[in-house]
Amino acid sequence: MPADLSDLGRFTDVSMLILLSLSDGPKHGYAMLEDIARFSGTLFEPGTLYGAIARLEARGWIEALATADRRRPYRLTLDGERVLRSQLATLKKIVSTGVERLALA
Amino acid sequence: MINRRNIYDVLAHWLLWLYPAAWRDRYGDEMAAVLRLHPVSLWTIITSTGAIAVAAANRQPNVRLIRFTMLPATLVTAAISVGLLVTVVLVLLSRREATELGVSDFLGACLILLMGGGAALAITALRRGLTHASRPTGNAANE
Repeated sequence: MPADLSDLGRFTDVSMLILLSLSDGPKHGYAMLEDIARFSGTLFEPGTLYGAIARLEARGWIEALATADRRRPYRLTLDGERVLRSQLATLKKIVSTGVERLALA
Repeated sequence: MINRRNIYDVLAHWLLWLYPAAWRDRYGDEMAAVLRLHPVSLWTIITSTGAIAVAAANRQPNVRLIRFTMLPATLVTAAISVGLLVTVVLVLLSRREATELGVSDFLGACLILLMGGGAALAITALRRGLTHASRPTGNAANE
């Protein structure tokens, strides 16, 4: 199973935001859209969201819970959490390098 | 009263039926529920169309059907490749002593390019088919 998000193509960024949204507890699709819009300012369309959800579920990084009416909640799996931690560590390194270099420029 | 928003809304729900059946069975109800709460725009329609194309391209086809078609597909691909090779060799032999190029040479080159494209497409499809055929039997909403 791939250990990072790089093979998700155009869904890479969306996937990371979904994993991040689920990191504080299970959410259904619309709650994810609202949460992601709140913390990142990015508003996804449902087609994009469910394209990414399908890929994350297929890789075992998120899993569906019992459906509440027609709104099925998802939660992060242990594998998903590991991938998210690894991705965030990479981003942290990039951000600190960027800040450091801009400060020196 | 019908306005643009209503039309987009109807279109977005109608587009759900264009997703592959396995995908629609798994995610259709959820996505319809999100579409009811989400402000639908022309961009929603465009991204849904793109998502449908991706879902269709990535769907896992019926493995039994693929295994059944592997032998004829292999034979056809081999025939196309051999045909291309023979054509190239014959053209090279027939043009060995020619000094000028004519319309027939241009048409021949176009034919060889077309055959080359066809052979590349057939080999790509065959490789994809072999990948699917080696998987366990069954369908999934996505890969």
